[in-house]
Order: sequence, then structure tokens, then C-alpha cells
Amino acid sequence: MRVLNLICHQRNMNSVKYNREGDLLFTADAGGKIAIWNSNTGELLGSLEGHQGAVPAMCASDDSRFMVTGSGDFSLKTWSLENGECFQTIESGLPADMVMSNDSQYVAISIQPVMAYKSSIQIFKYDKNTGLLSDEPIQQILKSSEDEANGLMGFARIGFSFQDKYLFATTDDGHLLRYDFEAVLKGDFTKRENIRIHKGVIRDIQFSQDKTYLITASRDRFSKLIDVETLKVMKSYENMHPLNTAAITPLKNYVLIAGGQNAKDVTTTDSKHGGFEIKLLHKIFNQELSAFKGHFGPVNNIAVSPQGTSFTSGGEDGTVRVWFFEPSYFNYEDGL
Amino acid sequence: MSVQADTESKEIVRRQITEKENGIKEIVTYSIDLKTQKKHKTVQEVKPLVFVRRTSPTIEARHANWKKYGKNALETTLEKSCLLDDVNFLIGKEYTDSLKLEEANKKAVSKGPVKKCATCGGDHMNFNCPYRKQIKNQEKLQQQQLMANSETKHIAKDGSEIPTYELYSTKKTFLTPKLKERMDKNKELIESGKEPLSTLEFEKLEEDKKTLFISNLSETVTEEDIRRELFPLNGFDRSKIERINLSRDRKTGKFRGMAYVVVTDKDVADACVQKMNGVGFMYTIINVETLATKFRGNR
Repeated sequence: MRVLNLICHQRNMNSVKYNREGDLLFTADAGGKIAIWNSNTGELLGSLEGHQGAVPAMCASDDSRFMVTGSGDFSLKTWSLENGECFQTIESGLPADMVMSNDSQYVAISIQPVMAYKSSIQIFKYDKNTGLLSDEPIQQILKSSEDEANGLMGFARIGFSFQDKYLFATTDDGHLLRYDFEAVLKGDFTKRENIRIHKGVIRDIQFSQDKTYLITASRDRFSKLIDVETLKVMKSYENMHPLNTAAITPLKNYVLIAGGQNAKDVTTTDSKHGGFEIKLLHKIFNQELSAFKGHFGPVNNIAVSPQGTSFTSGGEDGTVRVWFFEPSYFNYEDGL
Repeated sequence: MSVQADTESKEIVRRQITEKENGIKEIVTYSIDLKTQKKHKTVQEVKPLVFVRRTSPTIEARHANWKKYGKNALETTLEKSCLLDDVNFLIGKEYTDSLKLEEANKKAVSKGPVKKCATCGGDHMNFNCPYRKQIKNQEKLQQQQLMANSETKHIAKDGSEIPTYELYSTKKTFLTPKLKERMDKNKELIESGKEPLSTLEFEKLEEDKKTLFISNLSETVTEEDIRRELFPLNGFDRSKIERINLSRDRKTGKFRGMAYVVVTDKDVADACVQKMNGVGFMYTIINVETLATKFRGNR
């Protein structure tokens, strides 16, 4: 199995994403570095400089010309990927996650409750020809008075379902919220479903390629596969250690999950004992098929390439690895 | 860096490239070292690796003309990515089998230090051995039988056994140097037809007869005084003294007026007693006697 080690980051990884075609790879870390790679050769094409804080969230446009990033210095920036120029800066809160809608018209950003900012989801209008965001959010979802009374915690991860029908959001106490996006655009936030599926923080949600179901990864050691329309838990995968991230592979019926012990506990345990390997599970039979060993710390992010031929993992130790699948991966017969 | 340094000081004269089977290329380079003017011939075998990537040319062309930007991309010419060693990828049954193998290996390792009984050789500690008493009794019986059978057994006048090499060949005890010395003496005596010595006799013979016990010494006397003045003044050479031990108070370390002096011979010791007993030395009259006579007097 061919493995590429990408050397650029020194701090822990915050975000790893592919563009739509899967030829470019974007990585962002807690030191404020954003790097753009050729995902096949591992060549460093460029790095975006200008943020003074950690970069927890970013997203690239579908045509791979522009990029939106949010940082711990309380600003959003838009970039041209061709020459690395920043052409817009907006004051904002500290983002937790950032998603662009499927029709490239809106950018949704979840804001963490830090300093004067309240936990919210802000929706910006996005111009796909110029790459500019609207100066102010067109809609802002705040927690309702009922939520405050019930003690619902802040928004964390967000995502769009197929045709931008629903906007999904997770909270820090394991709730999954589903908003009707059309109603949200009109200012109506009451059309929503709320289920509690995890006992711990949900660290990641990722959608299948057709965006009809999603996978969650939580610190309570479970990863769950959820149908978008019915909100039913279709499968739940248990792990030995807390999970940070999970992904659904295209082409084959597999699921990748990864995580590990907390960074503060790592020094007291053996690297074998910490559960830092990435696990490959069968999506339907819930059977452990393989494991990828190589990271020395907990794995923060996984992104599977849209072609399904490789995946990238970013670790707490600042390493980024690109794993290229072998023929035995594609030829494995599961009996279906 | 070493590779670069080599190429700088070398001038390549000629290079041959021949293709072999399986896509392996053989590169032969002839070069001259500029410093030492030596001729070098290096042979390298190279196998190029080919990775096929299937991407659409239009997508690749989109960022083919991009120039590199940003500090990290520009600052060094070093490659920012490296190919790691091949990871052995196992899937499905192969993977579960490998896990089982690993666990089996772990169990084999984690057994810890191997227990082995010294008496019976079983898988337990020495003191837990069930056969321990039986085996020990058997050994004792065997020894007794051997002792009874042996004809060369010597018993002293006071009834104690007399050590000889034959006796100790069956016992499993450590032979101290003193014991060896005694056994050597006994061997000589037996060979010459005399009776061997008992333990007390041996000790007296060896040590006590040649040690002098000097008492009623002045408190200011030191070891050097005995060596340089007491013995030479009475007509004995200082080289005849083997060692001197002054007895001191345990708590204060003060000299108690007694000294043990070991001389080379029994005859010298007797002469010393004759000459030095009752002699004045450093304002006192000293008593000199051998330890053998002193103990005999006590009994």
C-alpha cells in the first residue's frame, strides 16, 4: 500500500478536505497554516497566509477557484486559489464548522460561544462568479428560549443534505438537529426535528456521496449511520476508544472510523494501547475488515477522495497521510 | 549532503546505460576524483516505479499553469512530501488471521520468567516442590552410606572429625582457604605417619604460638614505636614482625596499653618472650607472652 506523508504542519490538524473532483487537497491546522496539495503526487502547490489564529473551518468552491476560511482571530477570509490572494475579510465569531451549499449559493457557518459571541449558525450569501460573501449574514439561527430552558449546548458540526433540503447541526451534548432550509431562508426556525443520538460530543458528521444518509462520530465510542429523511439510526458501530471522525467510502460498502484517547492522556499510554489506528468496517455487516497503522497520536480528520481510490488522515501530531488503496481492497468479496 | 559533496569533487568521464530484464536498468559511470586523481567505476541498478493515475486532463489542466505561492511552498526547494515504506494491507480473513497470530505471539511472550525447580526440575518454585523432602532424605542416606564405607576416616582425641580431602569430596560445602590449609597440613602428617591435628590443636599451632601479647604499655606508644625502638633495642630485626594490632577503646579510640604482635616464627616468638618480658619501655615495665601460653594459663 502506497502511503504519502505530507510535511508542512507543525500543530494539530483541524480540517482536511478534498475539492469536488478530488484532484486538490486542503489542510488546515491550529497554527493558522492552510496548505493546498496535489492529492495524487503530494506536491505542495501553495499556502494561504494572513490568518493570525487557528483555522478550525474552511470550504472550497465547487469550481476550485475560491476558498472561504474562518479563524480564531475572529475573521472570515475569502481567497483566490489561483494566486493565493485574499480579497475579502469579514469580522465574525470563532467558527466551529463551515459548509457550502450544493448549489453554491450559500455558506453556512456555526459560531462557537466564545467571548461576546453567542452560539449560532450564520448563513451568508455567496457569489460563485466573484467568490465574494455578503458583508453580513442573511439569516442567523440562535437557540430558542425552549432550548435555553432545556439546557441545550452550543452548535458544533453542520451539513447540507441532498438538494439543500435540510440543514443538519450537531450540539456538544449529542443532539442532532434538522432544520428545513427553505423555511430557514424565510426566517422560520421552528420547522425542525431534534433527536439525541449520542451521550458525548459529536465530533464529526459526513454525508454519503448522494447525501441521503450521514455518519456521525462521537466521543462516547459510537459511530452511527442515520437516514436523512426518517432520522432513523440504521447502523451503529462500536469502537474500543473515543472517536473523532468517520467517513463513508464511495464505490465500496465500507466505513472508515478513527479517533483515539485524549491528547492529554497520550503520554501515559503505549501507542498500541491508545487506539490510534484507522479502522475499516463493513458498512452493512458491521464487521472489522482492516486497520491502518501509522499515526502516533489521535486522528482528528479523515477525508475520502470522491473517486474512492484514496483517503487522507490528519492527526493530532500534525502529520497528514494520504493512503492509496490496493487492488485487494477493490476485489474483496463480501458476499453481496 | 554527502552525495552532493561527492559529485562536486568528481568529474564524470563516461556513462553507460544498459537495459536488463524486468525493466531494470544498469548504470555504469566512470569518473575521476579531482583531488586524488583516482579513477572510479560505479555500478548502479535502478528499477523505475510507475504509478498510473487516472484523472481527466481537463481537470489537471485547470491548475497546471498555477504558480506556487505562500511562504511554505516557496521557502525551500526540499520536497514537502515523502513516500513512506509500503504498508502491508490485509483485508477480511487475512486481517483477522494476522490479529490472531499477534495475540498468540503476545501470550507466548507474556508468560514471564520460566520457573524451574532446582531439586526435581518441575514447573514450580523451589520451596513449593512436593518431592523436596524425599530427595533430601535420599541424599542424606547416600552420604551416610558413603561415610560408613570410607575406611580413611580420622577421629581426633576429643571425638571431633578431622577434615581430609576424601571426606569433603562427597559433601557439597564451600572450602574456605583456612580449611584447605588445614587439610594440606593433615595430608602431610598422614603421609609422614603421624596423627592429624584436631581443630583446636591446629589453630594453636598455627597462629597462637607466633603471636606475642604485650601488655602494660604506655598510652603514648604507637605502632611505629614498637617497630623502630622496642624490637631493635632488644636485638631483633624489624623485618621479623609480620603485623601489629593495637587494641583500642571502641567508643573513644584511645590506646588501651595492649598490643598483639605477630612475628615470623615460633622460635623468634620464644626468644622475644625471654628477652623482652619485664623490660622497661617508655617509662613502664612491659609484660610479653605468647598467646598459646596465655590461653593455657587461663584454662
